[in-house]
Amino acid sequence: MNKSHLVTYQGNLSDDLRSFMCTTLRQAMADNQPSAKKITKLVGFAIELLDNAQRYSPESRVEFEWKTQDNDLIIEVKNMASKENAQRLYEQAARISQLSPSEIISEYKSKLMNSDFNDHGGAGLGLLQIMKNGAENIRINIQDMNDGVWSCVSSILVPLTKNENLAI
Amino acid sequence: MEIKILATKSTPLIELDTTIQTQRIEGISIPIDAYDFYKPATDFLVDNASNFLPNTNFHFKLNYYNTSSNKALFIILQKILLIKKQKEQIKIIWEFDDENEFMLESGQEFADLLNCEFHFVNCELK
Repeated sequence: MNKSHLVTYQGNLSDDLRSFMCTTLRQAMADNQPSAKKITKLVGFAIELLDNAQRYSPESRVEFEWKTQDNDLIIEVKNMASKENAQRLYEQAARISQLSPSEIISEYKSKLMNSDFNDHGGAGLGLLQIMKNGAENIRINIQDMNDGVWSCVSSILVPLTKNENLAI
Repeated sequence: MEIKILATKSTPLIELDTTIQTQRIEGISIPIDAYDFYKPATDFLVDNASNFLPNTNFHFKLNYYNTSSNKALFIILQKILLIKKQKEQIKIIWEFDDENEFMLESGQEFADLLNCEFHFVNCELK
């Protein structure tokens, strides 16, 4: 198994940090010239996971990894959350992973057009957007850490072409 | 009447002014709570719907936005369309970078969902 950790971060999460990650990842990939469209999609996946982590983590602390494994890009974010939010994320990811591409697009459009923002400012579109834009799967692992705090590890796997793998 | 929200590292510039032709939303948009961020602009569009000039152009020049912003921008566009129903000359101009095909597709998706004509302009984002 060929594995490379390309970007890792552990620490507090803020709007500025997400913006910095967005810019840094875009520039790093742009230097290697994969398609701009692919860059925007991949960075978008990372931003959506970081958005969720910042929105639902009580202390806004996060562990972020951007790595390749064989011919896949893996984006992984670990954060703490309440039991309710952790289980909701887990169930949502499990349900979305079962949807067909056309069902994902249909649900995405329906939510965009008809649903409201939730109490945390989210639109419930993040995971749908990730799947809609070509992630092969979203895996959420949750674990009770006691004291009402749960650990959430969100992983996205994106198959890369040989050229993309070399570029990233 | 006008509202101006300066751009930050994670939020776009918003300039809405009923006395001039050009309205602008421009930059990166990744706020955690897009509803809160865009609410003043959304309210402004509702409260001043009848005050915009008949030939107003709404320029959107975004280089990236998160899904929370996607929802907020959809609501903003809905409000603009309500204004456009009264003032048909109003245009929605969606500017995109030549190399950022993803943003072009995002604009096309909005246009399809809203069943509205967008004017797509290829430009260099700074």
